[in-house]
Amino acid sequence: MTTRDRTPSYLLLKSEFQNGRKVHKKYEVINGREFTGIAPLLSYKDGASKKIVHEGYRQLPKLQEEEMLPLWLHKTSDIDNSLTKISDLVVKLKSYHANNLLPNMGDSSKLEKSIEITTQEITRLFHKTKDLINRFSLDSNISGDHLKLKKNIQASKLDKLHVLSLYFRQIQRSYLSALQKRTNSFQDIYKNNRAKVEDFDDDDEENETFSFGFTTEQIAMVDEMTENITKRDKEIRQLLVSIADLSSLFNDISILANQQSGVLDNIENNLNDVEGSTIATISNLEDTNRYHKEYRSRLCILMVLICLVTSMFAIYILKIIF
Amino acid sequence: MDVILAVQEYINKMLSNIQGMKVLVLDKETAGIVSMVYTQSKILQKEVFLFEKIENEKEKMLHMKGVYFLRPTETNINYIKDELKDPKYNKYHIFFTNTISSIALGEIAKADEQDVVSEVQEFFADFYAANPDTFTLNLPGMLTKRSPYWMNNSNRLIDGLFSSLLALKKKPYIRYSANSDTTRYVAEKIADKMNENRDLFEIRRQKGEYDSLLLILDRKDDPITPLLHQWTYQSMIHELLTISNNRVSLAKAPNIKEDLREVVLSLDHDAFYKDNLYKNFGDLGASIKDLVDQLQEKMNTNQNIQTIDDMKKFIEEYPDFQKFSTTVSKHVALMDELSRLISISNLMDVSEIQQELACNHDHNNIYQHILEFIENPKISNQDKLVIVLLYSIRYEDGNVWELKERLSRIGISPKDIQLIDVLKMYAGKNSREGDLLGTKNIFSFAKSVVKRGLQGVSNIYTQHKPLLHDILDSILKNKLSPSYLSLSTNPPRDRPQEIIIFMVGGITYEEALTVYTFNSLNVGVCRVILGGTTILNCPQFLDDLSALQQSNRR
Repeated sequence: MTTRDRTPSYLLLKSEFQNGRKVHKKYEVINGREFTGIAPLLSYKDGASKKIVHEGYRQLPKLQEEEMLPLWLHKTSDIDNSLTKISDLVVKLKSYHANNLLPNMGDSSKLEKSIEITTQEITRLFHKTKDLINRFSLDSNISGDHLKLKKNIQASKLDKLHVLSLYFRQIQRSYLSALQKRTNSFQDIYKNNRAKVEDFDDDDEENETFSFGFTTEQIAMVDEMTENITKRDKEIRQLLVSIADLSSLFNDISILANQQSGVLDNIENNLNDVEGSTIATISNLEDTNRYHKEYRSRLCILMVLICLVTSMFAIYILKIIF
Repeated sequence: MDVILAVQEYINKMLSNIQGMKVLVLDKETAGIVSMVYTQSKILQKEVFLFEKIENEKEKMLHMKGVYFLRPTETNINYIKDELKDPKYNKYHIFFTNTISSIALGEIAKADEQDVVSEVQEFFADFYAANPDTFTLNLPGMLTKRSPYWMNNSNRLIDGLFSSLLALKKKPYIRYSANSDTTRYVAEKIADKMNENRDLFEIRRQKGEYDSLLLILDRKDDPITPLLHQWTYQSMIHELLTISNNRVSLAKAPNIKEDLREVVLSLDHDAFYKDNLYKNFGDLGASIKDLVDQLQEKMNTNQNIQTIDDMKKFIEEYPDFQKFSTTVSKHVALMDELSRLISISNLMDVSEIQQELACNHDHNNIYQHILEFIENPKISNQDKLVIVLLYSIRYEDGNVWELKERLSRIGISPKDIQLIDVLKMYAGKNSREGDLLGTKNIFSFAKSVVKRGLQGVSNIYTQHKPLLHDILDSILKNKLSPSYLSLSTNPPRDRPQEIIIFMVGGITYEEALTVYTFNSLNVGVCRVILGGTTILNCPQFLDDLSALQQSNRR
């Protein structure tokens, strides 16, 4: 992969030409002065003014450029910003997840809380960015190339967002499954312990059950009830999670609908398509023009006919009267 | 040495070094070059948000950067000059695909009054990369120096070949086939150009050291290969449907769906195509069946969605699935069309007799066959003509005259029949280099007969091996015939490890397959890149021949 940078020789050539131009300009300016009759008393000032003139010349296109900068361009930077924000947050979330999965004895509720907050923040940003992108091409007082440009930008940003959301989802899923695994194993330990304790209890059951003042039946009932309650609670929670999932799914589907199908993802082809439609437009315009002309001539004939008929009528009426 | 990768790297380098939103401006040729290795969505990721052709009117967009990727032609430079007088973009980054003269550079500099050009570079991607080891210049009709297109396009040929050397970072010594004026002309021109731009070649190596071989061949040494019908996937598609810049038009197929009228076959984005490029028709059928089964399975898993988890999975996999199913329908449509074309023109029979002609030495038997063949009304006229052309190459002194009579009797135009003479003049026995038919010396003749007798033929439709196969073999044994002259005075004696073969007049996909098999058999030993003025199929070759005929008449 050999390349050759011709910029230095280009710049050299350009500076040569520019020097040539400058000389030319100086000559003009001096001529102007001579014409107005002011003697070149302050040659220093003359130089400065020339510089200003030159700079003004340079600044002119720049000013124009700032005026030209369309409003929607700010929106792209907004989108870019929130995209980078999302990816930062996702990275942060991943580290939180890793931390939380480490076995720790202390209080992890703080960490959990921050995980929750970050997750919510990310989801919110996703929605916001999606809205931004979707609204991006809405204001439609722009033409041809700009529209194409915006469409392309939109497609590429959507693609980025999609990749991010897939990544985010994957992180979340792996975290949840890891968490679930851990809880399961905890429960197992708990159960085992409990079984052991019960074994232990069996030996001196007779001595101590009475000391609590409850019968075994009552205790069993209470146990059953608490179990039922926890079960129901769990179910409700699960339902909640499922509903939330469902709503996010629907949002995903709406993102998907924005994805373009990649059947003809070919640059040359698209370029040719544009050319083809331009040619088609031209022929359509020509047709329109022809129709228009025909219409005009027809209108003329019609007018003449109407004139004839009315005049015939008039003559006829006149004939009858006289 | 991978030409697709080389072009991709050029484009990557070009686009990643420029920050911000970009407009990519291409000319007719570079549009093809870029789109053969990059897809639109990939390029969008590089913040290229608009594509323009240089000849079109552009809108003013001062917030964008213009990236110009152009061939250094006079018209393009004039376009740039016009553009710079009234700049439409904030900054201009100009990349030429070849060397640009200082005069042209000066003209641009003169036009750049507002200081908007920020760089001018030469990125040598001046060829179309068809396969990793095959490139083409898309210049049909360049059979010899006498061809009518030669005058206009010979510079393009030299430029393209020259840039391929630079893109591959090679400084080869040059050998060419001695019997051909055309190859000598190309070889000398390339050597001149390498001399002129010595600085480009001598960054990496000490002076005068060569690291590879550039072998320039002439199509006329092997006129049989482009005439034969092919049976591997890529060649078949090109032969029957014509691949142009990785695109295939299926518009002529009956009841084709709207979105499959034109399909894109890209090696990078179509795993199935990549895997089955070189498979023959039979194996291909099996692969297609596997592919469809795979799709079926995926369909089934997608259909039974019961839990929310299933739905989630479905959503995540849906884009891939969608992509997969378009690929499948594309290849099924292609295969369908291919088999339709094969059955309506009886290509199985045609190919059998073609292969017999190309590989056998039994004159009487085959002659009877041909006579029957010409009378057969089911065969198309073009196929009959091709058979007689093949016969005229194989048995130059045989009954060609009588066959011509018979062709004219069944209503083939005299203009087409004259092609037989044109072919004889272009690639007759005396003008060929190398031993195309294996008859020039007794030993090799006997060897081929014995080999055939002992080993038999595994597949009668693919028994023909192009001349290139023998050439590559002899290079591997370091016994390349001295009739391939060398341009430099003391070429290295060792076997070259990297070889660029360029065929003036065009290459075929059968030869691309030969190179591919050679490369995969000799990994780490020897690597070959094949290039040609164009990729021929039979109709194209016949067209080129008739163009040659017209120029002769003048």
